[in-house]
Amino acid sequence: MRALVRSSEILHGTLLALGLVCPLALFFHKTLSFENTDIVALFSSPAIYNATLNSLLLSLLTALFSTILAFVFSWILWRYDWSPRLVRALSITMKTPYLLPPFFFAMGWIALAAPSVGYLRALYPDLPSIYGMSGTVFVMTLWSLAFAMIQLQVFFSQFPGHLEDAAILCGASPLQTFFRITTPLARPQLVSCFLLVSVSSLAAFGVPAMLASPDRAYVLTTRIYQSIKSDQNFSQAGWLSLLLLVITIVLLLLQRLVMKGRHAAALVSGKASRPAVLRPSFHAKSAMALICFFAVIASVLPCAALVLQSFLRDRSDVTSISLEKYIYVFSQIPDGWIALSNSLLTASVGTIIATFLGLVTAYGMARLHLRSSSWMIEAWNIGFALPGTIIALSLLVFYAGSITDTLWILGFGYLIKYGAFSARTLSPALSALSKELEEAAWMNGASPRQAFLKIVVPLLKPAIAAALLLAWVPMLSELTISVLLVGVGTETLGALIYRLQEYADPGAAAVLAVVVALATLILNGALRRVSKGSFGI
Amino acid sequence: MKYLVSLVALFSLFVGCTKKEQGPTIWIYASFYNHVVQEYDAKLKAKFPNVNFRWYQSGSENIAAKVNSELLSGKTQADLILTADLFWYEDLKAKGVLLKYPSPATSSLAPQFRDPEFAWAVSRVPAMVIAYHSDVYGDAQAPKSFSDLVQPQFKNKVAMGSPLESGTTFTTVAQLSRKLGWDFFKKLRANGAISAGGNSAVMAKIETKERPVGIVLLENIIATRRKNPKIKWVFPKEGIVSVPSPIAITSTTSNPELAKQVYDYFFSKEGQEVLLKGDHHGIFADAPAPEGAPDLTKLLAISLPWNSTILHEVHRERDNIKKQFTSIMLE
Repeated sequence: MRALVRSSEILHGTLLALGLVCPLALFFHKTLSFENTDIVALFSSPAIYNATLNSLLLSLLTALFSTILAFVFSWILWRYDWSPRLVRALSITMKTPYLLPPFFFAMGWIALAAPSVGYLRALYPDLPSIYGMSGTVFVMTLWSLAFAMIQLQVFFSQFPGHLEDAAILCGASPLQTFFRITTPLARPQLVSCFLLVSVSSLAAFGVPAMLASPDRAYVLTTRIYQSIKSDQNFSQAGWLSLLLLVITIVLLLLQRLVMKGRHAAALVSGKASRPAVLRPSFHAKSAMALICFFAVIASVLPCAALVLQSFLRDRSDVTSISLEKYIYVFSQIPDGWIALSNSLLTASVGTIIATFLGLVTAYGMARLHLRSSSWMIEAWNIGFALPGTIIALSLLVFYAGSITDTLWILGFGYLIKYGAFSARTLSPALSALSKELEEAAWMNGASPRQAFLKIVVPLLKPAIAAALLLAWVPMLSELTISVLLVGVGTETLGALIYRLQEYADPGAAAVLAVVVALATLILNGALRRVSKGSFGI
Repeated sequence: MKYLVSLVALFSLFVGCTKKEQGPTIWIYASFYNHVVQEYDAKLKAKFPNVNFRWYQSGSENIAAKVNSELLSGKTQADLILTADLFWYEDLKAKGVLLKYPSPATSSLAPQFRDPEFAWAVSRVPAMVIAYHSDVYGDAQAPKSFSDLVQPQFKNKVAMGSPLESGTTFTTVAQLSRKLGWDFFKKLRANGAISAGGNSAVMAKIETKERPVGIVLLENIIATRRKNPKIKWVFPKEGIVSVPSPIAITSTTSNPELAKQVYDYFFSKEGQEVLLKGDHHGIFADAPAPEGAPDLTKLLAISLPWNSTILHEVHRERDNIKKQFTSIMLE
């Protein structure tokens, strides 16, 4: 078994070297050695200053709003005696956006609240325009709410509920226990969640490109894209990427500092250690109504708008329901099938490789206590934390003229960015699995490899399925990396949807988004059923 | 789980076992719409049955960015390029990227529509006009000229494409900045006009009344009017902007003789008829005009002037025009 782990580590190390370490090293070297770049002029230009400010605003405000809302909502759902069906339905509805790329929600909100023509304008003509930085923060907050709720899920599953009970017995009101007991205890997780959401929002490309750019507001990622696609200024793109990277590293270091000595969050459900639940008061019921409202506007409304838009022959007439756009997309857009096939192939192969490496590396770390396995997982976490724009740029620079315009470069990018999902899901699941089962197999004459294949792998089936899903879903409709790396004949779903939405036909973009979303939700539902609710959203 | 893995393995096997292409491949980078590409693809496959035609379809400026980045690594994959930014072809010619081919098919073209050294020739002439939604503006209230678009009644109502993405929009910006000056764009910006995407994106905004007035290609309006006759066009008083859109063979093509035959095909009667189906004006004056549009001779008569001096002046100023437009309209 040790030999299998070692050989997969060699493969893993090679992948990391060719996909992350070498490209990043060359990228830094090239950027720092551009001679004709006036760095002072670049960083003192109002355009770059505004983009940096907008990036920071987007990142910090999104993180602040979504962390606070997620914490309050999670506490209300956890603390009071609600119908389990309602809690389950709300929890699933609010976390579902995490399964879909944020730019799908930007597309949904454009359909809902675009100036003059948004579907909601018939009801609320004075609704503010969705375009601009405020609209971008709004949509990113609603999407990140799901991310934040998943991050905080572990906290509430491990929280010692008897502390709240003790406070209530001493005469404190539920609200007092929330502010004096739960919040102080949750502070490190809250700060960690805030920083993780801010890193994710800082790297966002699709939502600011669709909502902020039309209002002439740019963030660093959209400026980098513009530098490459419109200005063909690789030097400027490189320096802006470095700035983005520095901000990301600062945020991640802060997160590490806050979480030092604490266990990282894992996407695995556990048994809750709840306090005695309270009967909902009027205020709690009002708060619950607010949560239901948020669930509707965060998940249901934008998805419904996308579905409606995909069935409209004429976008300005909500009664013009037809299948015209579906027929058009699948019979007349040659890129549609190519993109579907490319995305399925890269996502599927990338997922299988990531899951295999994740499983073997997690085994190496949890069972064989190999330091090299921990390093591999750590390197993958770095890849996950890096903004997609930087991964794409460094791969472009490193592989210029060789595998650019092939699916290999996209596969590399996806593996580096999303490979961590597999190891992150499989490590806690493997650690939770008692070693005695394997030892019993050894005592009965099985080799370590046989014990791994016949005991560990079958017991980890739900976790492996979860790892496959969690890595496959973001790869399938990835945008930030794809938009920079797709070439001739290597169009992917994310890049095609973005191009159709921005350049040609928003209705056709909605059709593809609906198809991808449907496939993702069906797979997630199947996973929940197979794992009896332990995995999936 | 078993089924999931089997499904993924089956799919990988399917993709891995896909039949490999036989015969030579011709890559065509084109800024045509999907339906035009499909029409050309079918006709070309019928005409050249042993050739694999592969298309890269995007906005002219996106194709320019793509080719430029490919050239950084040595050569472009394209065998033929058909976009709407003639000024960029001058760049490519200067870099030696275009194959000089004195095609007999282009010998009858007017001198301003073909390169004197045969590096490119114009195969179609899109026309940029003003479109409006007649539900929002009656014929009397509709703008009559480009200058009208800066009037208060059109505040926050006007959309145009982005010259950073669309070649026809770049030519329009170049021509209007010469005719009306950059002040026109400053006033347009002050009047809340937006510039984003390509002509389809502008047309979608007009159709949904998000922006009921737009500077857009005549071919988009003709196509839209078939399903929505409420969209109307105006030929601006200053003159419409005709956008000579060329075709060229790259010097790095691995099949020069085949590429020349395909090049000639685009100027053949059949090749030009495909353009008509896409509501484009072909380059030959005797060809019929798209539905409801004036023929090419009349179209050119009401267009802003076009000659080789303008071509070379705009070519020299290409980057500055983009920068100037960006600073006025996009920042």
